[in-house]
Amino acid sequence: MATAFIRTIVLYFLIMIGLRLLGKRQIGELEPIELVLTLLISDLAAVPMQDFGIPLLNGVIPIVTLLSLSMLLSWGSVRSIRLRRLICGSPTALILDGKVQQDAMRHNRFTLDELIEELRSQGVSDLTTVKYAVLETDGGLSVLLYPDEQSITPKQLGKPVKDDTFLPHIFINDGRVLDENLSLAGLDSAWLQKQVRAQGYRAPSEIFLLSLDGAGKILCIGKDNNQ
Amino acid sequence: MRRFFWIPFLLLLALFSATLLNAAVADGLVQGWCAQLDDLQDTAQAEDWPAVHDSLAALHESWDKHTAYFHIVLQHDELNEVESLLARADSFAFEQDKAELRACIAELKSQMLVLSEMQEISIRNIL
Repeated sequence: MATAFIRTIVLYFLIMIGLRLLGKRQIGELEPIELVLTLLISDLAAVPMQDFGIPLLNGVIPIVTLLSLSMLLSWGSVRSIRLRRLICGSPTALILDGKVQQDAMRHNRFTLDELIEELRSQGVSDLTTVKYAVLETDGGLSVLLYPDEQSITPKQLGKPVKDDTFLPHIFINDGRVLDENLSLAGLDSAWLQKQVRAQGYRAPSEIFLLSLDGAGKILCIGKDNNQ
Repeated sequence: MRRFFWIPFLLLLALFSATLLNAAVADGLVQGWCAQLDDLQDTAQAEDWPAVHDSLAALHESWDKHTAYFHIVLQHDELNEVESLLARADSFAFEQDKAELRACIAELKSQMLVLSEMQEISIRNIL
């Protein structure tokens, strides 16, 4: 047990350091803490699950140890910028003010082909239109174009825009009435019944989706006949 | 926010304490069995077969009492090995085969020490 506990701690930090040394481009969407956790937990859970000769504790102790370590490091990284930089690294600008940072690219083992590929995947085909490209700590590339290459917003045009973006409240989900959402919206089942009939249905069970947005617009989709 | 520190910290502390306690308990049990096996060696050497049977029965009883605990914390292969050696010791005692019994007891002792060694915190185990 003690061996499993200490080995888990040693391996956790070993893999963490290894991933940090490998650089951001090896990570891809997950932070190093999350990636190490994902890599190790799946394997740890599988071994005692398959081999009945290994006590369950041999899987449970390392998993609880990993989760605790991960939680501690997350807590520490929220409180300390230095620790966060140590664990997750910091974002690196690969293009700064339109100039490709070749040293930063070499340091992160990011080739020009990969940079162009990443830009293409974000709909950018002309390198000269990019003002900043930042390699984030999770391995993703954030691209900011020069202002004259960006889409014009109503704000830039000085035009007032009506705020018609609302989060819809879902009241019927696949025939089931979500009472909690109804009460959150300040409505009741009598109102819902009325709406169901107004939409041409007899009961909520005939409806696939019924929602109401902040502008009072109701969306109602009935169930297919074969359901 | 503090709970994000205290919960994992206390969990790690509890786990570490449990592993230390487990190592101490396993070592205590194994040392007791090894002392019993040493006595058994002397009794077998003296060919006091009724005493050999009694000692083996006492060892079996003590082993059976803790077998569930060891199955929870140890790899079952090692425990199966001990159980098979215990059964062999029984049969040698029944046949009153002194040489084989003494060899089997020595093997049993070393196998039991393996159980305790597997639980102790040492550089050898960790690496």
